[in-house]
This record gives sequence, structure tokens and C-alpha cells, in this order.
Amino acid sequence: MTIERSAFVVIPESLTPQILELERRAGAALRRAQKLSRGDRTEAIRFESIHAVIDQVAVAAMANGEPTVYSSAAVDRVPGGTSVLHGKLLDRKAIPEEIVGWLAADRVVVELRMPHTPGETIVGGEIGHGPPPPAMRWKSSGHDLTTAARERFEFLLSVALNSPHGEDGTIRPSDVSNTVLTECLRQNVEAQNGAERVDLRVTYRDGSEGPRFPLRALQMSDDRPQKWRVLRFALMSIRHVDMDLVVDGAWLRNSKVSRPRPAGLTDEMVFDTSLRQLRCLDASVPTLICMYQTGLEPAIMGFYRAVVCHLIEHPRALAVVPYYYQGDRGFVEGTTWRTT
Amino acid sequence: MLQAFLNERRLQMPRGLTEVYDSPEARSLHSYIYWPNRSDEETNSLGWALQLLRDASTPPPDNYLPLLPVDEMSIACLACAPLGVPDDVPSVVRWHLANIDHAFQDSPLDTDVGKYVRSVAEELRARNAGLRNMERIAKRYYSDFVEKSIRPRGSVLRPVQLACQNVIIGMSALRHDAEFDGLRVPVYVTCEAAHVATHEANRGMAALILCDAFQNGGTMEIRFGERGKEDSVPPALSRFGRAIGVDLGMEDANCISPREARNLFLAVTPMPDDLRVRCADLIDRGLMSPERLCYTLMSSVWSAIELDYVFATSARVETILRGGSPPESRRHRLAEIETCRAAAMLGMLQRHIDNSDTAARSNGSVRVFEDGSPRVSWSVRSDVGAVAIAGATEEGIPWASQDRETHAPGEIVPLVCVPRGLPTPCDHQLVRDLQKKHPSAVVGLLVPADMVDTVPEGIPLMVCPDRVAALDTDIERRLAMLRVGRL
Repeated sequence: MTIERSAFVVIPESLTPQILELERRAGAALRRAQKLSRGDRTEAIRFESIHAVIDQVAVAAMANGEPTVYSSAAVDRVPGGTSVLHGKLLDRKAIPEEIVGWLAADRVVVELRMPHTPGETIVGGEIGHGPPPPAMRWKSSGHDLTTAARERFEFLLSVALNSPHGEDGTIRPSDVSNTVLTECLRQNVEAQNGAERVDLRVTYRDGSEGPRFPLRALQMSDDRPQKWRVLRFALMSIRHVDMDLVVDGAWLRNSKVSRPRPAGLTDEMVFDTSLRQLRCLDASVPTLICMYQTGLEPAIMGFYRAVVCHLIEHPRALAVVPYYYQGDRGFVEGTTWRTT
Repeated sequence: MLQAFLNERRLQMPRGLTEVYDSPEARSLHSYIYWPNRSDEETNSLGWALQLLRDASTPPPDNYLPLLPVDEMSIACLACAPLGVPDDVPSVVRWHLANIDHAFQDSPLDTDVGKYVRSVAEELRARNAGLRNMERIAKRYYSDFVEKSIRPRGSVLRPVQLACQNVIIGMSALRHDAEFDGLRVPVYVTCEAAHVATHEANRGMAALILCDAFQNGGTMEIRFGERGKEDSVPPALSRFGRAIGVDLGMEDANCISPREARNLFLAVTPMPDDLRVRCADLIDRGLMSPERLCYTLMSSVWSAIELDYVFATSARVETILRGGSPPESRRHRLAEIETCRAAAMLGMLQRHIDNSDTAARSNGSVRVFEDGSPRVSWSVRSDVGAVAIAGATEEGIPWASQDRETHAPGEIVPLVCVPRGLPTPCDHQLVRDLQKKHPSAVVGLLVPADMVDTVPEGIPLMVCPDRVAALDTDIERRLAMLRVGRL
């Protein structure tokens, strides 16, 4: 197996302005990427395509006989996130002296981390560790699919609650229906006598993880509060435009949430957004949110995690009543989320 | 007749054969079985079948006893043991009558004659009902989804069909079932066809079913028949399992358990031996699950040669299979993407060689392009990141710029390829060294179209038509699929 090695290439002075300009544009793209919503790779791709040009120029310089030093060491922290070195080097550890000299002489150096140097690479993992065991077989007791789906999720959730620190100690919301997911979470948010609060991992089918979800954390009440301020929201915009007459607004923007990204990132993004929006509500005026839901698991997880966290901070300031879309039957009211 | 056949060739009576001829399953296959006691004029007689085998393009060994037809151009035979040799239960093999590639001749159909006849009888008994069921499911699916252009969810019963050169070789219907959080397969119908490799319909259908089970989530348990009226694992699939050494339906006769599904998935995913060894190592190290690996290959996110190259040359397998490092870790990202560029160019090269239109240059009167596709084999030299490709003809090697007049047209020439997205002087030297070491081979530094100018003259080049940016776009697409796919 080949090993990685860095090639530090001095850029000819005639090309230095162009490389510095490319570096500036790459750095700007990277900074913009960090401002985008999670998983939006538009600017990341732009950064990579600009940097690919820098790399190509460096390879051409190398081929033209420009000074090059190979080293197994690498510069870990380059300001701006690119592999272009110039000015003062922050990380001098194990870097060949030539490079320090070039930089002191105001030359621009590009680091290329090349993976094809002959040698024996250390492969990760641990020999004999083996793959995760195959899943256990399971069968529902019910006959209809909704009952079966609910039983399955409840079963996995109970396994997770019984061994929260084990490999199975995680909530797996992928492909669980909107109704089942919300109602099961609601049931398990309820504090139990003698049982401690459990913050369970949340793992999606793509392997990504969202923030932990607090369960057995609150004394809950099923009663719908009366005479509270009522706000009606669609969980996500655009999904059911016919609801626009009923709701006061959409809690989340579909264009930001429904993007191809790891589900854990979507969950985290929805959680942050929801917590921020809940904190915008005036805690001194108790608010009842009627949430008209459509099924996107990370959105449900993120929103209700925010609700639980908000209720922990401000008990009795918020109640949420979920409404589930049931096709021709319209929306059906679910169990209220509020503290006693 | 049977005794005469055995005596003449000094063979033992295969164990269990007499019982097979007397079994109700054999009687249900009355018109197919080559009966020893019938007149040679009858098409279901042993004499008739022996004559077919004698007239075959390549006659089988003398100890092959014909049992029943597999299709119109091949026969299931029993390999009988010679007298005096310990007799194991003889396996059932398929002998083709036509002139076919020897690699496909004599393939195992089953490990046991009794189980084979029983499974064929069961399969044929259920086939008509299965086909009627398929028709009903397909009609309903067409009206509910195809006509309305609606994409079905995984829990919807979906018909699937496998065909090879306009011959349907398999049909099935499947859906995710919340009752056991796995895949339900109410219909499973396959057949052998003369122009298709033995058990290929079962392999293809099993692969498709397993990919669907993986994609839909769940435990990977696969149950057959309808809820409340379940069937056992389809006989053809069980037979295929026995032939490849994967037991199915052992934990529950009506299902493939998650453990069995894992073994079957690994068995039906085509992998060259080197790649299989590398995969086994990575699985053993806990770096990836077998299901994820098989799905990555079967869904063509990475092809076998691409994945083989990545596994053989990179220590960053885990991050690549998870979708790559974040952009701000440029150093890691460049190392990953450079490996991916090399792998992607190799994949393109292999497809180019495999799909070269050799039929156009052949002297045959009919030009069948599909049949003319050669299949190259390869071996990754993991120490230097080069790949030796065998089986390509002189004119089938694309993109090469070096003078190769030493080889005659049509001659198979070894190819040693060094794929690099960003070729360095070290790579130039490597190619020179390889060229000296392998003077009869075509050696080439495979680079993107816009990196040609960085390579000095005298270095044999293979120029991929894609530029670095196009390769990176393709790689980003693949990594994005890995980021959101099931782990």
C-alpha cells in the first residue's frame, strides 16, 4: 500500500500574484461555506475547484524544476484553510528548514499532500474487531402496519433506554412515521419515578448522528391549556399550501431543511433554529403552539428536542399540540406537550 | 439401460439415485426426467439424452449421467464415481450442448441429486401461480404509479423483472413490511436460459432483493409469500444457495435471516479475488459493514476496479466511504481526492476497454455488440499505486500516445497503468522504471486531459478525456451519495 507524503513546491515569482489571488478567492469561498446552512456544499465545491487550480499550477511548477521538498510532515494549520504558505508560518514543528527559508524570502509555497509514495501504510481499525453483528429478527404482535411500525419503534426505544451506554443505546428515527415518532417521544419524555433522565444518541440510517435527545426528563400533562396565546404553524413551508389559510406561519423553511445532506446535520440545524425561535417567544406569556406536521424525521426530532430543552428551561411557558396529516381525513390532533 | 450405462463405463450407482427415480417429485417431472427404462426414440429417455450429449459441441466426460433438461440447450448431469472409489453424494452440474466458453461449462447446479429434483419439481409446480400473481401485481402497479408518474415508497409492493438480451430470466415483487421490519417477497420466479450463466438469474435477483432490503432499512430479514400465507424460501434460491455454499432458510424455513442475508449479499456481489481479500480485511478491522460494502458496489457508486484501487492504495478508506473529509481539512481532502481521481480514471479506462466495439472488426456476418464485449481482469500493485490490466487487445487500449507497433492487431497485450490526477516527477520516474521492467507490456501514465503539459516528453502517456474539474465533479457526486446513504 502506498503512503502519503507532502510535496512543498515553490511557486515561480511570475505566478505568485495569480496564486495569491486564487488563494484569496478560495479562502473567501471557504468562509462563505461556513456561513451556509449545514450540508450546503455550494461554496465548499467552489473552494475545492479553485484549490484544484492552485494544485495544478504547483504540479506544473514542480515539473518545470522549481524547488520542491518532500516531507512526511505536514502543515496542520494554515491561515485561510488553503494549502498555500506565505508570510509567517504558524506551525513550524517538523517542517524542513528549506521551507522556512523560502517563506522568509517572501516566496509562496504550495503544499501538495500526495497519497502515492511507495511504502507501507498503517490501515486503521483493529484486526479481529469484526463488523457489527447482524440485526436481531423481530416480529410485531399487531396485524396492521401502523401498529407494527409503532411497536417496532417502541421496542427499539425501550432497548435503547435499557442500555443507554451500549451500542443499541440510540434512537433510530429513520423511516418512522410522523405520528409514531412524535407520540412515542412524547410518551418517553415523561419522567418516571426513580428513573434518571436519559440523554439518548440519535442515529440516522446514513450513519449520521444528531444531538442527544433528553428522555424521562419532564413531568408532563396531557391537558390542553386554556386561554393561552395560540400560534398555529406548519412545521415546514410549501409542503401543504392549502394550510396557509389555517396557520399563522411556517416554523421551518422547506428550502433550507429539505436538502441532500446527512440527516444528523438537518436534525442539528432544525434544533438550533427551533430553540432560537422558541426563545424569541416571550416566556412571560404562556404560548400554545399548534404544530401542523409533515413527516421529515430529522425535522421532528430537531423541533421536539428544542421543545423539551425549552420546557426544561421555562416550564409552564409553552405547550405544543401536534397535528398529524392523515390524507383525506385532514389533520388529527396528537398528545399535548406541556409540563404540569 | 442405467445399469448398462454404469457397467459399460465401470461406474458406481450414484447414491440416492434409485430413490430419486421412484420419488413422487420425479413422477411430477415425468415429461422432463430422462428415464432409463424408456425407448431411445422418446425425448424423455436416457438413450435420447446420451445421444444429445454425444452430439454436443463439447461432449461431457464419460461418467456424466444425464438427469433432466435445464433448458433447450443444456442438461443437468450427475457426475458418477468410478467403481472402487469412495462415493460421495454426487453433485449436479450443467452441461451445455452448444459451443460456449469453457469457463461457463460444467457449472454446479446443486450439491445433491435428491434436493435438486425436489427443488425443480417444487419450482415448476409454483411457477404458473407465480406468473399469474406477477401479472396482477404489475397491472396494479402500472395503474397506481406508472400512469400517475408517482414514485412508490419502499412499503409499496413493486414488481421487478430481470432480462438478458430480451429474454426474461426472473420476476419478483417486493415491499418493506413493518410487521417484521424487513423485506417481504410474495413472488419469486426465475429460470435458466441457454445464453445466461448458470444461476445468474438467481444471483441477479438475490442481489436486487438484498439491495432493496438494505436501502429500505430494517433488519435485512427477507420473508417469502404473503402475510398469513407464507412460503418457504423459493426452491430455486435455496438451490442457488447450496450451489455457492450459503445455507438459506436454516433459522426459519420461510425466511432469509439477517445473518444469512449478510452471507448471501457477500456471495452474490461480484468481486475479483484480490478485492474480496481486501474487503474481508477491512470488514475484519471493523472499518465497514459487509452490507454497506456490497451496496456500494452493487449500486455502482464505485465500480469493482475503482474500489479495489482505493482499498489497495489508500489509508483513508473509512473517510472516503463516509463521503470524504470536510473542505477545511484541505490536506486530508487532497489525499483522498487524488486517490479518487486515480480510481475514477481507472474505472473509465476499464469501461472503455470492456465496451470497445470488437464486433465491428470481427469477420462474423452478424454484429452482436453485447456478445463482443471482452472483460478485462486487473491486479492493483498496492506498493506503487499501479494497475496491471490483462485481456485487452492492442487496438482496444484507448488513450495511449506511445508507439506500439510491436504488437499485431488483435493481439492481447498486457497493460500497466499508473493513474495520477496530479502527476509528479516521482510518478514520471516510476513509469520509466515500470517500462524497463515490463518491455513487452504497454505502460502508461494515466492523467487527466489538462495535465498532459506537466509530463515531460518520453514518458508514455494515457490521456483520460476528462479534465481535473470534470473528474472532481464526478467524485463529488459519488461522495455525496455515500454521505446520505445507509451506513
